[in-house]
Amino acid sequence: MKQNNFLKGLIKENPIFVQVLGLCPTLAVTSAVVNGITMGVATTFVLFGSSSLISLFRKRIPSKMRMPIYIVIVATFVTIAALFMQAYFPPLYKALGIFLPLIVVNCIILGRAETFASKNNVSQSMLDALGMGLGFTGALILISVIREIIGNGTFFNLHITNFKTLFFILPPGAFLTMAFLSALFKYIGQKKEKYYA
Amino acid sequence: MSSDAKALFVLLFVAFLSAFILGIIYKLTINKVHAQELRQKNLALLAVIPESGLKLVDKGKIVLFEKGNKVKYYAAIGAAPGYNSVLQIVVGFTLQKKITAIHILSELETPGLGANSEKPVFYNQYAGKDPQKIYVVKRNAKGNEINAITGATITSRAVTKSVRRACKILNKEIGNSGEAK
Repeated sequence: MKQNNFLKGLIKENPIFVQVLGLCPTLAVTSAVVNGITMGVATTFVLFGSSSLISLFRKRIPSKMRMPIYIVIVATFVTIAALFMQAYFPPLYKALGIFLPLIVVNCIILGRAETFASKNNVSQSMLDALGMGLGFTGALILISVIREIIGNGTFFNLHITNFKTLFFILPPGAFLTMAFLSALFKYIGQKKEKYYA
Repeated sequence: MSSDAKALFVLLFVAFLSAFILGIIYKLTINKVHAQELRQKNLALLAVIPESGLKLVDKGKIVLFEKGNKVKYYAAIGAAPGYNSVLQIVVGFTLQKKITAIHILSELETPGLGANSEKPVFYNQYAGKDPQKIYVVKRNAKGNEINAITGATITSRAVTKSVRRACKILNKEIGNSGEAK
């Protein structure tokens, strides 16, 4: 059981490809790999911190007040991440721009808080948060590797090839890349089920 | 106490705790943030002046660039509210108060629209123009006109306004005679 709560976030219940949560920042920051990783790490930090605290105090948070309280907690962690990044990683802070504060309304965080952290103990909630965060980051990396290499010919801002299709850096390319990867995920998932059935 | 009132107090407590923690983190990071902002500002100042190796003299509201003891260029920072954020622009000026170049110090406009103000194809338009006569047009800019970013008129106007304000600040500091107070 313990293993499942961590691993499920990586593939079986991947927040982007399976749960279809947090798509807005996904599409926006995956135009470059370094931006995707930064967003993934920042979101995982906020997810881990919020889920831990919400789980820790789950018996003391009155049900009718839970949404505002969750949001204050999440916003606090996002602000901590933002202040930290602004001080120590200004170019990354600038690259994320408006999407850093928007982590507050990333559905993954509130979703896990409501679905899991508010009903399970702290250690399980921590595993769930880490798994979801890593799954989110992995998906971001996958999408941004494709978009940056095909769309800009670079990887981590290092020039790789002269072939570039601007389309992939722009929003339509983001949607298309995500769509193909989601289809691939579904296909592999179905094949695995058939194999085990 | 009713359960509603109790719930309200829990929220209040969480809010206070959050503010307290954030206050601490803010205090811990603010010095580094200011140091970074200073670094960015200095890089921007060097970027807007065509000559290198000049001495920077910070006069508070404006910066003088001197060679020997003669002033060769000026710089000032202008700010104006954009669509999502307040824009801060560093503007370099020749002795005749024409723009040498501009550099956007901070903006948080819409990615893909207003944020494209950071692309050279937009901001290079300002170089060489008269800061008191610039204004934004939709296309085919001539003379002191500036081509707006498609779909980002407000941001384009805010950049232009910031540049004009930088010029106003410069004029206030050195008057029309050209000598710093």
